[in-house]
Amino acid sequence: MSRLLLRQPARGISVTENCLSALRSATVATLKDSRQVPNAGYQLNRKLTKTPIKIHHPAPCLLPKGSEPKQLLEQKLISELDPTGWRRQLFQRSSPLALRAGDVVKVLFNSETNQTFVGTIMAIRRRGVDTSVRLRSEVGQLGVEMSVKVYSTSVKAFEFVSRALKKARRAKLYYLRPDEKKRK
Amino acid sequence: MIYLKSLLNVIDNSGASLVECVNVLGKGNKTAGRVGDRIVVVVQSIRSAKLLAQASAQNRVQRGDIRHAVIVRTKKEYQRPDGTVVRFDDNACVLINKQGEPIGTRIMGVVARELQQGYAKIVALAPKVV
Repeated sequence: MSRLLLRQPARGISVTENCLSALRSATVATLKDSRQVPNAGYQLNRKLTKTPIKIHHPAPCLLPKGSEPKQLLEQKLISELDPTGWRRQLFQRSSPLALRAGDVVKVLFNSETNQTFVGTIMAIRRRGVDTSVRLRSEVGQLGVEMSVKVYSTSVKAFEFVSRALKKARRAKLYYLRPDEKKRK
Repeated sequence: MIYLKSLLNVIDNSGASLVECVNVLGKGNKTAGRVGDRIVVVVQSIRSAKLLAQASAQNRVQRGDIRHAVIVRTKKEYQRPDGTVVRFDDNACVLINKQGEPIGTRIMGVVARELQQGYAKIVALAPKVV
């Protein structure tokens, strides 16, 4: 047992080291070649493999190094969907005209029938370009809730109707929903 | 999400007040009914005759009748193509005949805009469409 243990590591090291050094020399050699000829893809040495394995050059980087593609896309989308900035004015926390939970707002849609929906803001879900507002309205004696995407092109305008009488002590006003147990 | 045993409010003047869903038509097995889907219902309770002055005696439904209905409101939220999500506070339907026309002559309450495709008459009768 002990003889085998002593032998195996020695053999193992020599074999792998040979292979690694061979690979290194092959790739280094070909890398040097490929740098001289920029358009050619480089290949592994034919001595190691029967058929050459083509290794392609990496695709060119379209964005500057260190930039965040997701953030750039978000900014691009927001500037496209909200060029004048009125949506950002209404829904960005820092804006002086920002809407809050409890405010009553009228949404005008870009439809043939000029659809509108008036409701209290129950919740503002802030997710950048995916920001949505949950509005609750009592139509007759029935409650209707509508979650509207703020940056949607189908939304024409948000008209501010009234501020909450008392500042809501919560960001999400799900307590406005009727108590099902009390109903029965 | 309306399926077998779901109770729905009836918002027309056909005579029925509460119905129980028995089957969802035109959909795969165990697929729940949504706004605009056609269902088979059993009438569980009816409105008193005093409130139904305008409905004709022929069209009035009785308790235990099996009828077709179209779902006009669901408590389960659904999403529209523009990303808007809509949710009502109850499940409601309008009774229809085999041809898809409403049995009643009036509709009391809100209906969903999705009914415009296929049930234009209901949308025309409804006082409010959301």
